[in-house]
Amino acid sequence: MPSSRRVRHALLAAVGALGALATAGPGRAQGRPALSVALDAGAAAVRYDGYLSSAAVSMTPALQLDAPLGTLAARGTYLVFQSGSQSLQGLVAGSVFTPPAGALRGEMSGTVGMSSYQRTNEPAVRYGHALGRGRVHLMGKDQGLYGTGSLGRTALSGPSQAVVAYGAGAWRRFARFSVDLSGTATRVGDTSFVDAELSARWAAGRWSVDAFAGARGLSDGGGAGVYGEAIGSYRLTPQLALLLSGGRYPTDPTRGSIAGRYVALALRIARRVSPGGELSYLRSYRLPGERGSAGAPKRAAVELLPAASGARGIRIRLPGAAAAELMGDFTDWQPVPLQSLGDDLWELTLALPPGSYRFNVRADGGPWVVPPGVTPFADDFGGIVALLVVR
Amino acid sequence: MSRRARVLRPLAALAALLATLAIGSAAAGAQAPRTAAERLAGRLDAGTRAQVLTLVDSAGRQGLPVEPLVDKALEGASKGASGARIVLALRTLAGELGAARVVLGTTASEPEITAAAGALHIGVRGEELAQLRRARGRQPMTVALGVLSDLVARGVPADSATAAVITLADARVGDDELVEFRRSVERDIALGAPPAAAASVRMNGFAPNSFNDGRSLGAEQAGAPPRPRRP
Repeated sequence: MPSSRRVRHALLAAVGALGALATAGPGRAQGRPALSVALDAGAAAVRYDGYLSSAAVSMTPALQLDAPLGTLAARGTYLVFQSGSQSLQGLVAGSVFTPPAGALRGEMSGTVGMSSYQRTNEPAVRYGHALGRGRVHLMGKDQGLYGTGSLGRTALSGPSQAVVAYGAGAWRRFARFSVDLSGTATRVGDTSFVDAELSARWAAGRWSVDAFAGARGLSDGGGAGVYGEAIGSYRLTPQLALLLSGGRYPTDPTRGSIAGRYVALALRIARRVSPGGELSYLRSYRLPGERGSAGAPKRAAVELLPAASGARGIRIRLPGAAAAELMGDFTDWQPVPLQSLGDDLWELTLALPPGSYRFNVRADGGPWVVPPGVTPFADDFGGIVALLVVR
Repeated sequence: MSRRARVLRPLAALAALLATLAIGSAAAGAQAPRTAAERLAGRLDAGTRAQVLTLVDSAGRQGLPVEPLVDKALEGASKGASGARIVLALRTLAGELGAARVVLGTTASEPEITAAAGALHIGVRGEELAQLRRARGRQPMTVALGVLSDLVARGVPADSATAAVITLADARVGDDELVEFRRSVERDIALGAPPAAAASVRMNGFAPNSFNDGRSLGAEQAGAPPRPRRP
């Protein structure tokens, strides 16, 4: 099989696996994924090693899906250079965490990427890579260690090459500042090198700054020297941010990019798409591993829905319950029977002005409890109570 | 009586009847708020009821919300708490409502004061609430305070939770994103992350950009800014 076809098959397999990770598995069952979308539009001045300086404009759409156990992200970048040359890049990356085993967590991630560089009146240069990575985290409260191993293939308009990388790192987080120190050894075909990197992040209010510094050595064909980048972000509105970035990055034989210096300014329009579109502060989901109180209705969840004439419907899922009641601030703490909607759903419709309310539920005349998935608060009378915030 | 008058008179009578019915039903629908005494009638013994009403009256004279006090008394009654315990809970709540109003100022709404009193009750300090008030500016605080209380109840230390919510408020994060932030922290906690670390990690992800910073995936994740790379 030609190498380009092998890479294409590997890319398709990786995309399929990432899609499966995003849409199936425990993450889907345990909570609703949240989707973020963004568009960066900007301009840059860049000088690749061995080339003259050039200006470029870029457009970068991106989306990210966050599920309880993992993340799936996709991004494309379209660059038009001053010379008229164009670059098109696409990348999909996914990451899934395993449940914790003490302080240890496992993380599996995969990345597939393709790019095309088109010079005027010349054939396009095409490139692709597929990488899988395993990482073991030793997680503390504000610090952690990790070890990483990666395997994959990369191809740049020719035969594909194996990619092998391994390394280790440590991080520490402070109130508004975090640092990460790592070392990684990489081999791509017959090219090999070792990178030592220090990254730091600072965030306060609308500002954030990410800075990276690194040194490459023990290199056989991968270049050597120091590099560093800084990315500043200023949030204009919840959906709009200004990004200023610049620095030097090294040659990356895995992703097929050459070293360069750049400064870039971009405007980001982003939106986090809340699932369901409900009005409620509480949403219907069940946390993994949750047991519920003794006698509590099993697999219950609470939703607050709009109803006619400005009223709200409080909907609770109570599998197996023959009768259900609710009492709270909005019922003068008198038990009110919930109406069965079938399919284990129970509902109470009432006028609820914005505010915070306390309530309890019970099934089949059992104890008054907080529905699983809802944070329990001490009620001052030796029990627990749920808090409902209505906007 | 002219023919026209014979036609108009029944119509006028019908219109008057409809108007009367409409006014009557509107009056019935717009129920006047019940007083504290009416709400508490038959729910507490006479001695407890008298003490509760005294506390409620006192709070009302100070301009504090009284509904939360009545609600608390009714909750205690429904849960079978003793009169002494109910009165103690109300005294505590009245103090917290007063402290909340001092911190938030006289322009704060009743839901905000109630939510702030709840936050004070579970360990958030007054100066932290004042910081949050400043950070939120003129934006309503009820949801932010609910998120803050939720995080603390989930085990996030009060100072860490407050710092996280204040940072998000500084960044002009809206209510939807605050709720999303809380959900993310709860997921992480449920998956085994220490509560303080979960809040810190998620705060770093939400505050500066709308995307996570991509630490777990490297700079390739969607949140990273575009580099002018080329092969």
